[in-house]
Amino acid sequence: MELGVLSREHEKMSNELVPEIHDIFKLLGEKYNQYHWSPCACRDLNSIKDSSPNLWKVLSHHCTWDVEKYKENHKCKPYPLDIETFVISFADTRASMISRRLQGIYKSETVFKVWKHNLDSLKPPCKHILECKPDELIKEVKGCKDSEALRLFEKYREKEFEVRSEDTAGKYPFASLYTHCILVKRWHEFFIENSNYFEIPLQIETLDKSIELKYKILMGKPIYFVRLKLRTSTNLARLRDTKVFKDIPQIIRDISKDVKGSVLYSLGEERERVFKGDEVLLVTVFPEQEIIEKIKNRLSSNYFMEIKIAETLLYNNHDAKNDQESKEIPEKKEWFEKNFSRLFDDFDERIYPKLDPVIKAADNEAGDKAIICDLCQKGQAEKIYPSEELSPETQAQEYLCSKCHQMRKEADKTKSFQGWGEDEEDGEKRDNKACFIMVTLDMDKLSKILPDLFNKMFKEKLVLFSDLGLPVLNEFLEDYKKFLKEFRTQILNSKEVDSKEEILDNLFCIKIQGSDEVSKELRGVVEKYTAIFDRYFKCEIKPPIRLSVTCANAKFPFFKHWQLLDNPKKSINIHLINRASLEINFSQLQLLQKVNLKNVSTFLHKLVQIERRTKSRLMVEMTMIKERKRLGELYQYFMTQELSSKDILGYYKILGERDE
Amino acid sequence: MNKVFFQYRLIAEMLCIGERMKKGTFRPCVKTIPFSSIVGALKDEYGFKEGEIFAAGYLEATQDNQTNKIEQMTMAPQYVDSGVSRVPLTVEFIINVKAKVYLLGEKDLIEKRLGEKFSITMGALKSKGFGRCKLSEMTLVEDLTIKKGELLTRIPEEHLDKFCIEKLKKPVYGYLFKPTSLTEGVYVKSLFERSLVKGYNFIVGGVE
Repeated sequence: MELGVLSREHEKMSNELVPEIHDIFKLLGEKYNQYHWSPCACRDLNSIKDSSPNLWKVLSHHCTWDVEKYKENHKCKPYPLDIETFVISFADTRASMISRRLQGIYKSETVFKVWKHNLDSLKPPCKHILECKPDELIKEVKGCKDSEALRLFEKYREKEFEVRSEDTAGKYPFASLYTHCILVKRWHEFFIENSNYFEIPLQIETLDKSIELKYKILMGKPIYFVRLKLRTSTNLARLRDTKVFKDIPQIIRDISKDVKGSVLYSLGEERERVFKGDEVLLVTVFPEQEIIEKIKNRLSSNYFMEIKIAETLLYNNHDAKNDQESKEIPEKKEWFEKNFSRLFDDFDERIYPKLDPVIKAADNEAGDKAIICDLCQKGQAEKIYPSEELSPETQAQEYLCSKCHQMRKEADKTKSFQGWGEDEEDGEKRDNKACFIMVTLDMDKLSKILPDLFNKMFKEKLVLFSDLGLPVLNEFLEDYKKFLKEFRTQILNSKEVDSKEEILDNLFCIKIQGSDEVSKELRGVVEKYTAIFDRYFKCEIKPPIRLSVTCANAKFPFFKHWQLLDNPKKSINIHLINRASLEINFSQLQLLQKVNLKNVSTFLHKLVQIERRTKSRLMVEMTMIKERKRLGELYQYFMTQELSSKDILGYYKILGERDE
Repeated sequence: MNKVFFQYRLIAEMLCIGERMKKGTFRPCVKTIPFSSIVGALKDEYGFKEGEIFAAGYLEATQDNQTNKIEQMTMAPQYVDSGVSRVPLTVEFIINVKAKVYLLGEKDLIEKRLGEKFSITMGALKSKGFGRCKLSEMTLVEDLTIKKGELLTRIPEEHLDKFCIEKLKKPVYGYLFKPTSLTEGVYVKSLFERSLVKGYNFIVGGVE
């Protein structure tokens, strides 16, 4: 038996194969289910076999197992079967085990999102109607070349794949068909990459051999799920140090390649960091110790990794050929599902790169000044940054390890930020401000809030995070990414090319010309943010997404911005550095937007001073009682402790000065 | 001679053990009592030799919001040689410090040299009056049970055995300074607070 060693020819073929499109006939609805189960049922499609062989393989994946079942209706002859079709059919069943969750809670053909929908007013349509006519889609598939398959998938992605629930009957409405399709793609990659390990031949002669191979893989080939989170404890000193985050996806890709794994989920943007700690779930055939060794080799002193590994067989109770078989192996019934759920407990292990037990001063100029790297604090300081020939004497020097020095040198330079310092207008010097805007999502809190939202909505069913698994989280993250993209686009599009800097997907910077414009610009940012946020997240319990804005003179050092940006305390956090701070929730913002803050500046300053010096709220209340008529609603909100004097003053100084 | 652990209560008005952080106008402080700081102070003031004393400690957890309170101070340091002012520096420090420290050494030596109560000066900004610590309430530690939990202090790897600490799978690594002479030193790999360990119950807290 020739094993599935991927020759160049096969690799090329695999590149052209688009597993994501395997369920495109689900878009036709239940009426056309037979086409989904086998394209052989549709005579019109038979021509694809020759014109687009890879597309045919993908679409006919169900025929691998169901050839007997449908032989009466159509002349389906999949055998001898090639490795790709076998792998797609196999990948499809593994993907369904992960994406089909929470059956029986709610039925809908469209995806139900607890952060967006509710059971009363914001119910999603339970029936999903295909936008185009079924005949048109069939015609489109018929005319699709192998090289165009991905484009066809993308065409229907937003309006169909992302909106529909995974199964046509709508029994699992919490994960989209899109999520399922991507999972199939990733499983497919994994099985092809490790076809030697699974002993999958290039060609399988008969159905019996196919079934035999399937059970051999399910029962005899352990795999390892690895849930990992790449973290950094490095304090960013310069703007270019954000490369620490930019490099994360590449490190994950390298690790995945080293362990011949496939990333089933990457809970972060493909390119860059979107939220604290990119969490990744990958699947590999390497045992635990080898995985850990390979990770250690890939990490530099700027990173450490939290990890949880679960060894499992691919077998699950759905795989039992018949009742007799499941009776024979009762203890193995829940292997896959049980082990997969275990992944969502706390991380088991924290992995650091190989660190030296002792760090001595380097025998060079850097070593005369410092012993340990200023940036990562875990390597020998052996280089000076910036090097003397490049830096003017006034510039502060740093002593870095070789890895951090290399990272600094390789980091992209900003496009226009350097020149933001001062402008001249009508002969007068204008002091420009740099405003950094960052949006972060706290994944740990999200994993607690999502089950709460489910339990609040579907009271009779108790849902834990492990019940939701990754598909629901992934649906949320897809929405979050869209929200972030829309917000970023709106802010950056309103600025000229030389007045904006895109640093990370969730961190960007705009230039504010002159101090007078600061309040107006910041109000614009907050208004846009809240308007977009309300459209994406309509739920009562707000998801833990935080907006951080810092504003200071354009020459102000970045590390101070970073300290504030990276430590958001509430939903909206705005800091005019060394001048004022505002840290409030959405509900507090709404209250503050309602109240009249005219002519209260001196009084608010007085209140804050009283609170600061006496450390007593009572004294502030007493002072407010005297002025309660003038303060109106402000007095009421303060007394009910919805707002503090610091919140009011912060809002007044940062966003509210227009009223004076 | 048998080595024993003594527990002392440490009290200080202001303490600033700085986190090692360069290029900043903000210097956060360490929220524990690391091995390197307390052992360094004991060696400096009481002439202990290498290997004679080992110590580490942690801030007491209290409900009272005035104890171990974090404060900040902005100061304008100057270059010693030219007297020119540098960029103002905001320093974080702790006031009303109450901590527990554990000293390991020979019983007689500690009793004779340190006694029931003694003082040390520890951490940064000593010239500004920071770091004057009084240690009292000397107690011999008898309960040496081992438990699993989060490490409450910072200890170099080479001295983990003194506290019977066994690393588990979730370490937090960093480096502590170790002087090798009056003017030179090296950094040694150390286990930091919040590392998951097994060790003497007095230096290990609960798991979060």
